[in-house]
Amino acid sequence: MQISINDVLAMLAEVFEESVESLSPERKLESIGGWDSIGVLTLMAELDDQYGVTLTTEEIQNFATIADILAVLKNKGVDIAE
Amino acid sequence: MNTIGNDFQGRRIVLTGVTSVIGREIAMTVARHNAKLVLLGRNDVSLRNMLASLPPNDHQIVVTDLNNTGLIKDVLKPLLLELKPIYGFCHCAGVVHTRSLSMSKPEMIQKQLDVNVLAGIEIARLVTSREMAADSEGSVVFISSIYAHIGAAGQLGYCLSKGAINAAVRAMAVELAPRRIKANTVSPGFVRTDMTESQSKLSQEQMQNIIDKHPLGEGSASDIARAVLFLLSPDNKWITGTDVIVDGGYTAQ
Repeated sequence: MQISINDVLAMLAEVFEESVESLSPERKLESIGGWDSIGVLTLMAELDDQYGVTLTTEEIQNFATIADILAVLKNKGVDIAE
Repeated sequence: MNTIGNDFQGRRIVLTGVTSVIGREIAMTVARHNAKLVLLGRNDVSLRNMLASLPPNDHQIVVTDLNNTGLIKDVLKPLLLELKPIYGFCHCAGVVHTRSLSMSKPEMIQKQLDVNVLAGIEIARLVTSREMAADSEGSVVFISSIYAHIGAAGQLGYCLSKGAINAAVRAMAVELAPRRIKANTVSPGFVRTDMTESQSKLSQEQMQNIIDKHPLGEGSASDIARAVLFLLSPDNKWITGTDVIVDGGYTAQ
């Protein structure tokens, strides 16, 4: 099933308690208040539930921006429309 | 084989969650003490493998999905009627869905309540029914958690489900006491299991940090199984409605 970048941003907005308008691929993760240990665990669980993508905390620690999350989803087979 | 004490002498015990690390150890332990088991689980192959690893003693398996709490009684009852009297039950099945408070939606909490609490209560009410239970003896043990006693970030649904188990089992204990059926919980500290390894999403470093906070160091499934064995066994005459915390001192701090 193909999803859009906006679908992913909407999911991230819910997980990190931000407005979807405030999120974009360029947004730095360290600038997001909810990007803490529990936020990361919740994100991992939601990615697994919603897209069947399993990430390790070690992989996530290397992420700098939302674009990195989108890239790893694509690499793991999620069909995200450009 | 040490069968001095805690000998079930062929009494029948129903077990869930036996393909998990703790559940498997409990099944092995009570089977070694001459219990006849009924193993419940979702995966037929896993259950058959488990069955093959037990010392033979007329053990039975029942394939059922504990997420579907409405079906459990219908699936289990016909077999238990053939096998009765049923002496005891241990609910080891459990799931954890780590979520922040803001993402702890009702359906996410419900999933944990269904498996951790309601499925166990469905089986307990069947096993302890007058139609099914042994005469004037019996024991029910639910595997709870130290998270019934302490909070943890990201674990609202899990903590809620485990607290509910402890409260429900106290009520069960008082109600069943006139028929000499005991009901207790065992609350493990952190033990490496398939649930803690994968479902919890914790990294190796995060798990090690938790383990390091246990004054007696890391525990194992056999530490939990020993406590369950005693509470379930006919040697337990006067312990009911309580929670045995097996956590290497974690909650003593």
